[in-house]
Amino acid sequence: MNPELATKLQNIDRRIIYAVLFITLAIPMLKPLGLPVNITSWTKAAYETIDAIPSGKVVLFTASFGPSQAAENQPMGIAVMTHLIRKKVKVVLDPTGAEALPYMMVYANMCKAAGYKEGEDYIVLSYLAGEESVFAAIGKDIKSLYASQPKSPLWDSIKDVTDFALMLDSSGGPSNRYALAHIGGPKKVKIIALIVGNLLTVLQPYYSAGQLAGIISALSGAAEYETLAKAPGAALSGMDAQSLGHLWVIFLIVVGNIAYYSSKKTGTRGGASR
Amino acid sequence: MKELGIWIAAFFTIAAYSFLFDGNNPLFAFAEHVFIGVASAQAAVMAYNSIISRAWTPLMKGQWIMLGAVIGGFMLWLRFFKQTQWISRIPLGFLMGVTAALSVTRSVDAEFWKQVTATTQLNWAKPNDALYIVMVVCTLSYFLFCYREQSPQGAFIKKARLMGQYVMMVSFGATLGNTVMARLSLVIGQLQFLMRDWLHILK
Repeated sequence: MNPELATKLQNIDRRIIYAVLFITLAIPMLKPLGLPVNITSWTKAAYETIDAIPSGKVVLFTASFGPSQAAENQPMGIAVMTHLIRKKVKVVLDPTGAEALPYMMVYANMCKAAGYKEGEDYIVLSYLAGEESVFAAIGKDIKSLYASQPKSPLWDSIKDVTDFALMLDSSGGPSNRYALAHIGGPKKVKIIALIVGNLLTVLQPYYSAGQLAGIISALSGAAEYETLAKAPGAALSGMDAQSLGHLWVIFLIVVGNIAYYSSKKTGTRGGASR
Repeated sequence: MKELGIWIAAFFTIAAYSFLFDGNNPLFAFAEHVFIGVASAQAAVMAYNSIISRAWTPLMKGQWIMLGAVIGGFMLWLRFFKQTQWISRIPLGFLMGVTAALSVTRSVDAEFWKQVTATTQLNWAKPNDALYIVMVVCTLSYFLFCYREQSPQGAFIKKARLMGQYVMMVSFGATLGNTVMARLSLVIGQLQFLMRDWLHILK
């Protein structure tokens, strides 16, 4: 490669890189390409586990994500809630993170819109600080932990965490592992993790070992779930953009490496772009 | 009112992304300061509500055991005064002890024993499982630091360590790939918000 070109390629103005990225992401949103979505085994396992829950059973849905992770966690939560509501499964919504309550209220509003009755078909528990100690207390005695929870037919039907047919934990941090350690392992409650993308490699060994019943990871996992549940939503519409965005990143990596190695050969090195 | 909220959110989204094009500009600095202020205020309100509902109200109803939690909380605050700083170490030590006890007792089973058991139950006859076992052993061997390099076993461990190093690099690469995917998801989420809720050019 021409040494001058190699140096130029290593010093592309970052504003150009980001501008092209934004355009690459925006175009497929306006004109969808309909690229196929590949279903992973862990998302399929999550779908099948939820699909097997009989109508009328109760699911515990804990969430500890905030605005910085909502773009990833919220579409999958909505897809799962759509599936649960369609199956008429009852839901106990439990915000285990300080910023999670507004997102839990979105799920509560979905229940309300579908004709679910508060107290009978769904309830929202209050936020309790404590992170791991909250999960430990849920595993030990959920009724004592939420002693101030008003009486209702749904809450009264729960005696112990084992009364839940499934636990869903949506987070961008370590709460999935707290759930596994204090609820999944000792109480044998099935757990599905709804996670941000960079946690996938951390949690895959737990899925392979059978400790997690399934994993839904990032926007791609949400899109897979929407495909399986035949409930197209925000995630599926964003997948074309995600694929094109990845192509742009791959292109930059390849071009950057070619330029780097050719400049290394000729002895001209480029610096980092501002 | 909802429309006003959307306009404010759109303004702050654009202000945050302005960093990518113009570095630490006044618009970005304003958004950054507002974000930190709002996040701190929300955390303070949540913490206050948690103290009221979990400690103060039960205490007022005669649950005297909660007095310990309230006193412990006040002791933590004493770290802001030089003369009484040492007192804050008592509740801090208690908190660390409780956290360690919670983590260790349950994590040994969930994060160690069940993982070991699952690995031993893999089937050598399946190529994927065999590869998994080899990769686990090689990765573990990377953390063997005391062996004689000149011996035949040492030469074998050295090769296994190198292989383990590559396995870890693949794992870190996969994590980085997932992180890139995660960051793009965040951008897509905000772009969808801007184009759908603010500009109404997306259905």
